[in-house]
Amino acid sequence: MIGHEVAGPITIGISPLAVLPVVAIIIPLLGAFLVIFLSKKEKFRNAVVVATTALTLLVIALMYKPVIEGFHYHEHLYRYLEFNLSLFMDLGINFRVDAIGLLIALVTTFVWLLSCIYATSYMSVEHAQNRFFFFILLTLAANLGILLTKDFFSLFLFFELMAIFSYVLVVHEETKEAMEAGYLYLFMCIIAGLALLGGIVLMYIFTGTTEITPLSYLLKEMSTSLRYLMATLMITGFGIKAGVFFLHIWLPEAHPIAPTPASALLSGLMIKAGAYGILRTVNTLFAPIGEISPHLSEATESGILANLGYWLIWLGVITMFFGVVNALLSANCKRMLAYHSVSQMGYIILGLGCAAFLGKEGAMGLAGAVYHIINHALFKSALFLSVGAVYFRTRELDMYKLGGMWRNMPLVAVACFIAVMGISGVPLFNGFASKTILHHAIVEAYEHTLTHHPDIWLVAAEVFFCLTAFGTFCSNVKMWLFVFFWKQPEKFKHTKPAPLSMQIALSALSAAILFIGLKPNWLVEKFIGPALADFGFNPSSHAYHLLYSTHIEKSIKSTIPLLYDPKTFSLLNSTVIHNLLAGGLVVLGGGMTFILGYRFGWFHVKPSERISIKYWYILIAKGFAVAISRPSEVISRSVDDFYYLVAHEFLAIPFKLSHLRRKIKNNLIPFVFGLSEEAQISLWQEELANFLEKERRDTLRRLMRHYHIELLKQGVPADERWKKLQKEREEAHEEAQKIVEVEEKIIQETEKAMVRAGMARARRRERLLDLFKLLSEIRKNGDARYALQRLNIVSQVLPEISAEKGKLVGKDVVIVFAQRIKEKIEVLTKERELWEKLLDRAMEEISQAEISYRRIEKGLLEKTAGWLRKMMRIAAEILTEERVPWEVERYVSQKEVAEARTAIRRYTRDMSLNLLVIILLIVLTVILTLLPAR
Amino acid sequence: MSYPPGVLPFIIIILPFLGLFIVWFIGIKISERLGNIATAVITGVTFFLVCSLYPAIAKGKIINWSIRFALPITVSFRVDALGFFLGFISSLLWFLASVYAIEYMKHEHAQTRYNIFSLLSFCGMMGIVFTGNLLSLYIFFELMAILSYMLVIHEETSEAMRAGLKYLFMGIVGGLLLLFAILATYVITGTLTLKATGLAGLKESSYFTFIFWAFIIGFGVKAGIFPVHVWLPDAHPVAPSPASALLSGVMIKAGAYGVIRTIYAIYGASLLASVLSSKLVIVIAIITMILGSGVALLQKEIKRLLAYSSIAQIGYVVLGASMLSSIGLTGGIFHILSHALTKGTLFLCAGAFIHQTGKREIAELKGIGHRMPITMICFTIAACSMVGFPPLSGFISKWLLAQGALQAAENGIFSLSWGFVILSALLFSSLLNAMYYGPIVIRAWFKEDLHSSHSSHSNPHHHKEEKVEKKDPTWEMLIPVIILSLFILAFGLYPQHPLFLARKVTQIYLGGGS
Repeated sequence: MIGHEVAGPITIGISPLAVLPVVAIIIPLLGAFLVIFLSKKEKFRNAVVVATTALTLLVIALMYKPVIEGFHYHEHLYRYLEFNLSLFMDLGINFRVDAIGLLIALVTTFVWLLSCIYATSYMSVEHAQNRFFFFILLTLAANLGILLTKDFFSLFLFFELMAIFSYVLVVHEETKEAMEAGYLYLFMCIIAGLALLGGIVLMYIFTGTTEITPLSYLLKEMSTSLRYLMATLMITGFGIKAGVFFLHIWLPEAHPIAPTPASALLSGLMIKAGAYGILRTVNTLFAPIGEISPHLSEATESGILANLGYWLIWLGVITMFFGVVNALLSANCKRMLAYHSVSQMGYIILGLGCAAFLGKEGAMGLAGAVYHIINHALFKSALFLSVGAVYFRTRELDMYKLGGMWRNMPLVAVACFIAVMGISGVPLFNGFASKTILHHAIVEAYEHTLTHHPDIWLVAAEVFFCLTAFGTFCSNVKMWLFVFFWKQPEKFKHTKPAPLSMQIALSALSAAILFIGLKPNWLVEKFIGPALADFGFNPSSHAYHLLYSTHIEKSIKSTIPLLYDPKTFSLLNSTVIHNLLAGGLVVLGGGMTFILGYRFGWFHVKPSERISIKYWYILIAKGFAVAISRPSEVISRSVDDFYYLVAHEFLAIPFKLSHLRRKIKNNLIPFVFGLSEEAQISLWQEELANFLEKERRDTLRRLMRHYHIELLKQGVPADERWKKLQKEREEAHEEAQKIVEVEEKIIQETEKAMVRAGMARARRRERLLDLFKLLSEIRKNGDARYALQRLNIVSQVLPEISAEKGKLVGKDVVIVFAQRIKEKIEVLTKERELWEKLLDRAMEEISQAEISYRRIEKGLLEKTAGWLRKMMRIAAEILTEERVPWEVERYVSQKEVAEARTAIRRYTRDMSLNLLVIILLIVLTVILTLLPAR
Repeated sequence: MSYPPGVLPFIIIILPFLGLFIVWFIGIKISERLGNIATAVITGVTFFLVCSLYPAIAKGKIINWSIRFALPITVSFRVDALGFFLGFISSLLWFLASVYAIEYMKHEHAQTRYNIFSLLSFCGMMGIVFTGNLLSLYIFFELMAILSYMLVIHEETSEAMRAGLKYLFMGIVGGLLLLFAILATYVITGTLTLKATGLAGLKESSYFTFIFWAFIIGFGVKAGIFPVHVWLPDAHPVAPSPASALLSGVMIKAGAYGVIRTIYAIYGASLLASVLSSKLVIVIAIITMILGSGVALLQKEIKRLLAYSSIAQIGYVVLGASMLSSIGLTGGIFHILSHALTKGTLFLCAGAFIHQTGKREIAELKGIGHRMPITMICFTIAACSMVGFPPLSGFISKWLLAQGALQAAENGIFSLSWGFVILSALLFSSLLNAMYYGPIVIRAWFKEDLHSSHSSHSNPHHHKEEKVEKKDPTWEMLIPVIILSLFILAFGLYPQHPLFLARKVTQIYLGGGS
């Protein structure tokens, strides 16, 4: 079991234990569905949840021996469990459990179990408990899946599943803040997945495999920039999940808003999956395993790894520092703890970075990082659970509003104290060991730079490391003091202690923290040390040797002096004293920060929202959404409109052709063939138009005069009179228009009747001129207001006249017409009721006629003529407008107006004709010039 | 004679046609509900017949059968791997949509007309995928375009008529372009049979590009790629939901199928590799992907959103086909299957929502997950498949397409930076998909402001789960939706069989490589 003659992983052929990874994932799945069935019986359901997690923990614990110590089979040593479900999903879902994966999985399940125990009482007052427990078990399955897979493809599967399942936990409260935080969380996880997918695809295409194993010999097929790109994509993807700075914005929103057991899991375990991923990408894929390919160009390989490590170191430093600064400024306990998670992730990334940077000498960094993963899981969940216990009883999360809780919840206070000491890195508690190892690692890193190439920046990194340690101590102790120790506000004096299950969970966690704190080398011996073999560290390097020596009596022992010298158990080792002093310095520094901060009120600084990254991210995201959607819509719509336009143009072609034909006929033929019938007709139409215009003017004048006289009778003053006349003028115009239209209709009807009767044109014209006079008379004689009604009666009488057309001849028609009309009017004037009814009906029919008249599709020429007519009328009105208020009597003679209008019409007709002639001439010229000469 | 007999494709096509008379008779004389059931039965029988072709296709056999009238008018039927693939999906979806329609169309008008034209369009679709030469492809293509018009305008509202008119006219214009292209191909190459490696003689012709674009636009009108996609967002929402599912899930795939045949069977990959036009097709595909998703972000009515989403997804298929890489083509073909299942589920679920609650606007679908849980679970699965979450089928197609882009870059079809552009376009459009499907699913399951932050916890046992009346639709509508979502999950977890078929096609057209 020592040494490197490992023959391979334990597959199903070697031992049935190889199925354990799949079993470990399936148990929570089954448990989740069992929860759905037991949704009615609360106690039974809670028991099932706890039992499921306990069973999973057992399964994982069973994996210890095959993975860490290995199996002998046919005289070969096999280590690690492997199980491939290659039928699924194209590349198959493949599992491989190695030491690091197992270690993190063990801690995961352990904390999950305690969280579920805690949750049985915490969630008893919440809504949607079944949903919570269902998804918490599914998330466990997904989280374990991430840790136990063999290749990045399967890891991606579980990564995405975990994102979806944990989303439901985050938005459990379903308040507005929870939904917003949930959206942020979900979309950051989706982006993480996409970045990861990009990296995995790159890896797969260029190396042909996605396996998580040192691949330097395949990776060198890719160009350097491609390797950097792939690594960056994958680090971004995992980093979003881990909460590294700049990609961490979802963390301080999502972790506080989730229910406390879920927060503990999110902060303690799920972000570790991100760190695990970064570990696998950087330290495994790029691992400096020299002996696999002797042709490996050492310089390039370790160059890339060192660069990645260097940037990871800085990423870690920035993360840890900004995390702790934000934590110091938070008042909400859970938000502070969330920022601390960001900060502690910075430690882990720092460790990974040191390991990568130092290449084969980097054992210390890796050990520190993994150790810190374990420790952070334990103390962060303890912190969250204790804060949650306080919240459960007091419903208060602001640390400045709480106080003195140690009286009401002594066990919680003690557990929280232990966790606070743990996170601060105080000796005798677990954080001390991991932070010490990490400190050793960063010191090694900057010593390495000082000797190999002068680079003082890493010294700065170490300074930030120390400052962060102070800040961590300060912030956590501050929280503990404010929540548990100081003055207790009145309303919380009677809070009950925490329920039993919460106490159990907290005690278990505290016990674990203390155990690791008092025996720090145990973890290194049992788990971390054996894992280091996979990462290509030089076994004879100082760090490796220090951590994990194999020369002592054929057993694995850790020789690194952390709390005490493991060989002699004495405290008098120089390294130990150095470590203890460093721990003491942290306490001192933290205390000073606390005092200073309290004194100067630094903790209550509220930076503006605009300098927060989240503000800009959301702004950019919204901008993106708008920038993609609006132009797309505009483009889509313009394409649509373009098609409509084309279609309409296309479909309108036949109509346009017929219009063109008519226009040519009307304009060309009279010119060519002399003044023809049409010309004569148009001359006649001019007279008609003249007459109608005269009528209109006259009507208007009469009506206006009538109104004017009325107003004079009423004694209205001058300017008011003018205003009222303005108003009346509109109606007068309309009235005049209607009268003109009725007259026009009457004239046209009469003309048609005469044509049917077979009268010659000249005769018809004469009669119609008489008709003009008649209509004028009818209009003028009598009350100006009733001119329209009189004319309507005339138009009614028309059909009767037409019916008798056969009997009347020549001149008689009109005379009889006139007589009949006069008779009719006399008759009607005598009978008033009939008169009124006729009026109404006449109005109706007039309006009907108007409507149907307007509906008739007028040809283009008529339309133009009508438009011209209207324009002339308006022009005439405008010309005469000024005179209305003060000189109603005097109007410009309308004859000139009508003549001007007809002149314009003639002119346009001639112009179009001329244009046509010119075009024909040009065409002719062109044809003649282009004709080939014979 | 071994099974299947060569005449089977012909039987598969004729069966719905003969069946429609039965449906007509039953629908008018007996009862409309029985007519619906009869339609479902006929489509089911056709589906099983199509499935029975699988063993022979899997062995690599190509089934041929032809009727000779007078040369060159030969109506020949040919089933190869790609044709079978599409035939399977079409008949599956048609069968499930007809079962769904038994319940959905129960209270509609003109059910018999709907059934008849559904069967006729089915006939046309089967004809398209099972033909052996271009002329019969064109005949069935036009038939399907015109007959499906009746499905689009079924509701006979003014909106429906306008949408149908647009659909019809664009379909006809596309068909005319196609006719031109086919005639030109015949004149230049002298043959109309689809071959595996492209028709000889096209390369030397000076109308090469012209005919290529005529083919692409002609098929593209049916497929709904930019810039001829404008009929899609109007036509798909106005049709009744089972017809929408068919239009979106199956009939636009006919266009994509045509594009694949054009690029590989008529022109040939080696010919197109060095031509600018094929790269332009890639650009069009990317624009379609982004534009479709972009406009979908702004939609407020659910069926219109799903229609725009279809535009984006068909861009994926065309991208896969035009990248001229073997993995990409596999991905594109797999996406035909994946999208058919997914979009079918989505439209049928949307129809269930409309049928049960009458609500079409997305804002009104808040909290519907509690009232119609099973339907909403299927909708969620389908939406996750659209976004590309593993282990669903949508992920597999994205995985393959992403690989295809990089593989094509490696093979020199385009430079590596273009490969990255395509890759980022794929990932970005996944994100866009999440941006508009996410809110629908989330608002359906989680009700905001149900409890304000701290108030209701003070009374621990004050609120129980509110008793919400469950209004899931009946089994006729529910079973197809459940079957489709199970297929999405199954083909995501275990895509071996479709991938096997798709790889067979790729091997024929691109020769080797998975």
